[in-house]
Amino acid sequence: MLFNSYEFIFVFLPVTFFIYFYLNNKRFTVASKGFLVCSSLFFYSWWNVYYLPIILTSIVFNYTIGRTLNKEFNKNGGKVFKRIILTLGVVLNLSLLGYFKYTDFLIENFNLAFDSSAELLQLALPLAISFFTFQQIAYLVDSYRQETKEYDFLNYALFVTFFPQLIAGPIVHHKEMMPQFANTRNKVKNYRNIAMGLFIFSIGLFKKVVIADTFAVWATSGFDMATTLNLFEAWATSLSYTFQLYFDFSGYTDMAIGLALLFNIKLPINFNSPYKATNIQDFWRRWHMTLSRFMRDYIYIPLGGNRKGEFRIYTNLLATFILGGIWHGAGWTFVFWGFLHGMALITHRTWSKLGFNIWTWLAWLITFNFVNISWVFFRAREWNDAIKVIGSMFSVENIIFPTLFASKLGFLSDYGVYFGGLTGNILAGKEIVLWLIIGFILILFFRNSNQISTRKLTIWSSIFISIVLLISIYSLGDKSEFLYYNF
Amino acid sequence: MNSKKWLCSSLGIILMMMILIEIFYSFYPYDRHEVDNLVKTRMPKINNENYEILILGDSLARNAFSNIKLNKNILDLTSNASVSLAGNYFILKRYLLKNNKPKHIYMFFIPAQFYENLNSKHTFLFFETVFNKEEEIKEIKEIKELKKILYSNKFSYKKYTESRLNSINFFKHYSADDKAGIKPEEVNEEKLNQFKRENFINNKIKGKINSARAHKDEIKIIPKIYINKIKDMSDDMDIKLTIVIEPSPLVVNDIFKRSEIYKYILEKDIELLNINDYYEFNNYFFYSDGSHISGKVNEYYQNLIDKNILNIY
Repeated sequence: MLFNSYEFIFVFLPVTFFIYFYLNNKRFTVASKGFLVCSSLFFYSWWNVYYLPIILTSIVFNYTIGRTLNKEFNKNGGKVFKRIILTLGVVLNLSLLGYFKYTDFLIENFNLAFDSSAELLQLALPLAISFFTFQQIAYLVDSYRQETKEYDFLNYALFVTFFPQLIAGPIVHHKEMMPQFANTRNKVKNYRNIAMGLFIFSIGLFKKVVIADTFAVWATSGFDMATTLNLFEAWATSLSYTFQLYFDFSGYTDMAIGLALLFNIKLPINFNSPYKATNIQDFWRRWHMTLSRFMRDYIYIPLGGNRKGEFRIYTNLLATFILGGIWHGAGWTFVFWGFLHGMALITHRTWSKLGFNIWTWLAWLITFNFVNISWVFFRAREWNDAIKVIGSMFSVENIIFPTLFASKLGFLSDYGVYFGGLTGNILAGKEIVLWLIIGFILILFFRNSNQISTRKLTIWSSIFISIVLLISIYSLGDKSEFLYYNF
Repeated sequence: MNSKKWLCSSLGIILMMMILIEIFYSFYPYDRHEVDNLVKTRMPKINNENYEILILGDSLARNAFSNIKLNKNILDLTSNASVSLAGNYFILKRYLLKNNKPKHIYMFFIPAQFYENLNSKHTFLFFETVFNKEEEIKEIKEIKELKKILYSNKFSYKKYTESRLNSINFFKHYSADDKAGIKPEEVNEEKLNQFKRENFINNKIKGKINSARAHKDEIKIIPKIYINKIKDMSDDMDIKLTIVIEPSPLVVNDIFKRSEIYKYILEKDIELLNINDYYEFNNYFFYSDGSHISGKVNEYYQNLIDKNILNIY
């Protein structure tokens, strides 16, 4: 079930909301939690009920391992035993993820390397597996550190399955979720939270269905359908995807945060105007913040972080980001995307150490363009698609001027300049220019939804949100999945 | 403003705006000019006529016939927009109820209409606002698949409301973009290169090819039902029926000729006249929507109609 569907907005959400608080009102708190878990599993199964046993097995397995890790053991033998249990738990989690997500990738590369023809398994990726696997690995590691003792199964199951964050994050940490599920004050309807929840949800819905889905048409045309692109089309394609990804994913996160607030649960923020970043480190502090946090705490720091000398910092950064790339998808384009970001962070670190300063606007321009260009590898299905777009972005032979200027600048055709339609290959008209300008204005000059939501509730915000929600509902019909559902 | 009041006012405003939109719509009911014009204005005036040939079809046929001077024994009942096989069946039925039977009926369709289960943006609304006579509603209700499709579309708020809003005059109307479409005599290397750069249509055609491929091996229930109904009606009344396949991009036509629905039409012993067998309609001859043909090519199409259909009469 998609957040941007009628069945979710008009049926699932109200029914779940009212029954949950009705049960709490009658002081059936355990039943209300159980109901929320069941509703979340129903929400999850809506796509494909065959995925349900996978998530259920994963929950029971990890909870059992976590409990075992929490037990007190004799000093020496116990420590080794716990290490073995932890390793087993992490390896099995990663194996499950690896089996579904990376088997075909490995077979393809094996075939390529050894000129063999092993058949691909063509496995469907169970929804949200990357997210719930990472959350539970974090839980296991912290159980090993004796930090999860007090958790009961129902709270744990709710921590993994809670429907607002189940499918595409934010990647929540048990420490920030479990106390909220246990807190009895959160069992009572809170109108402030409901109002803020509705507010943030509406903004997220608007970002997704009105803005991201508009850019999606041009991005898809440019990457997947067009055989050639001129210079303008190539830039329009990459920028369209850059905007689509941001508005799609941050829209999803806003909706998740808003939905959780309806149930008095505060999810961590995931985006903080990332395209305002003036360096790549700043970007990663603003983009998919919960993934960055996870990578820092469970990959970068265990690898040694910045404690083992400058060279190890660089290798750790690179390894962390390549793993981050692989987490997003099984493909060399993702690996390369991770590599690019790892290298950019190394470059930034070196640059900072040298003490050079550049103008803020130039720093922003470089950062934004680096991010924009690297998204091309992230988005492209094939290397060739990425090369097609990148090549056209930097090819002067591809310059086309609008036919409008043909009468005055016609002499340029002697020098290889063409006059014609600027955006025909990506199924766009003149409106794409306007949309790109709007995109830039929104990412650079507007407050993000987290900042807006701290404002007072006024009649103007009520009118604003009503219009935003209504436009979004009118735009709902052509449901499109969120990009991060694929990861 | 306290939270409770804020929530009430927001929900109240949304509700009020939705009601206003519905009221607004009641003043501007759904209207797709050509269809409404044909069924509600022109057809009621056609009574006890003795036309020998009836022409039914969509916008491609409408464009072609708009510049052809017809003999007085031929009646043009083509309309605009995707009236579909089902819609044309009802148009035909309405005509036959009040007029003498013709000798020959020509129905013009593009291949896509044989893959269409009435889900397209406007088609399903014709069954609410145009083909809504009591006996027609009754007939629709008897076909549970059709009823299901029309019912489910009603719950697609966007599809339903947006279509209705778009039908209002001062909202933007779709029109074929004249930027594409090369005249056949202009096709030379330079023009083609320019055209490829301006490539407004290839992606649309690619979409149509993909769609044709996706539907090639299945027979959609609604076209099947209405092919049978049209065939039965013409057989019962001893009227000759010819289905004319209109100009389509080469690959689309090739796929159609290998499709299950094509075989089905042939099996039903319906005469098929494929215009594409007489002339190859290159991708570059189509407008930006990938369906309509440019002015000069339309003249070729008219000549083909004249030569292969109208000349006979």
